[in-house]
Amino acid sequence: MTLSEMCRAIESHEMAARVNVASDLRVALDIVRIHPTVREFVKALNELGVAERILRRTFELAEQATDVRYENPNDVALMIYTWLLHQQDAVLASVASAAVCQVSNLWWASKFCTQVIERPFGQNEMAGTLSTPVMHKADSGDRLFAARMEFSPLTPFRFLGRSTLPGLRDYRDVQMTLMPVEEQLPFLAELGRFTAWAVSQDTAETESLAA
Amino acid sequence: MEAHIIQPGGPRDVRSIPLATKQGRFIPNERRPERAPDALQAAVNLMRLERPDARLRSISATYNCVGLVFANRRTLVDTDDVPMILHEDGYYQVPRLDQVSAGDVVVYRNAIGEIVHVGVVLCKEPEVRTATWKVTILSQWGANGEYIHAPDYVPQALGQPSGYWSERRVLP
Repeated sequence: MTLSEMCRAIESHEMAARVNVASDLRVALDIVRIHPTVREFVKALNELGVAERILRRTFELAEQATDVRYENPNDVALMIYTWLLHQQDAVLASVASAAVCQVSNLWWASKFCTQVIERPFGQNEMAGTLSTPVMHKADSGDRLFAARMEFSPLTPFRFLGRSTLPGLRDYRDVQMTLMPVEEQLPFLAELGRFTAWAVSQDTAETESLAA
Repeated sequence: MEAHIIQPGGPRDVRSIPLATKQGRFIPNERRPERAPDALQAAVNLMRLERPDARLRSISATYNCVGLVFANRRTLVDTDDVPMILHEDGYYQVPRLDQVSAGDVVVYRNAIGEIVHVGVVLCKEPEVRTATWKVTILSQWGANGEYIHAPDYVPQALGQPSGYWSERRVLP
């Protein structure tokens, strides 16, 4: 199977139907892991340029216009491509995840990419490299990420959660966090030392929330 | 202004709906966008090919199996929350197949014992030839539609039936 044929299989309705049998992300990833085309793709990842080609294809799919009335038809393909990159290279997976998190109406891809981005500090040294351009303002439903301002570009990056307020202007409007409960209060206590990015589900807009 | 802290699918998540156990504990949930008609058609075609004896009842992606059983098809609930719901809603495990009744819940587990699927018992009929019971289940297969099927006639990823649970009460 050529790379193009594998991509067609990954992006097919049939693949989406197979993965969408799952009721949660764990089962969805189990289905992905054992699928013959995905396994073939994993082997191909060691060949020169394949990972970069997957990343380019991820960007292409992320930028595709889709019918906003429905779930994004590229949802499963975006999850699989990001998962494949994650098998090969944490930096590429983080970059892909940052792009995918801005795509509207996703389900599995959104859940997986959030996991990639929100990995614990210790496992997430590269996360700072994924920050997307800072523009405009956040909107209701946007995803929010935060990183310490004073650190290097490789600063650890944390996923805070989704905003429920339109026109988010201040970190105190952040209404949610995915952090373990025991980490929440210390994090909030020093939130003034963070810069947060609001990454939109709906409009791809982001905003710097300098303390 | 103050910072409110929630979990995804929690009560402050814009994608969740108010949903609680009988004891009042919030059940984390998230509503999923509907899939396009051609995607749903592909799902139906694949299920028809792979499980031809299952009968499609309805096709929608906006709820999952747990949402069908415990949230009236309104939202998605993670299978990890099933033990909590069973406990707080007063379910008990039905020890024998002959005691299973329509309306009971069947829980499916994967090879390592994790809950991966749930369904509702539609009916139970005696199977005279084999001196056992024929149980019929209604369950939502991920985002691929609701099917009426035999207990073990589900896609492989949905595991195997591991037990029946009921909340039935009888007068003393």
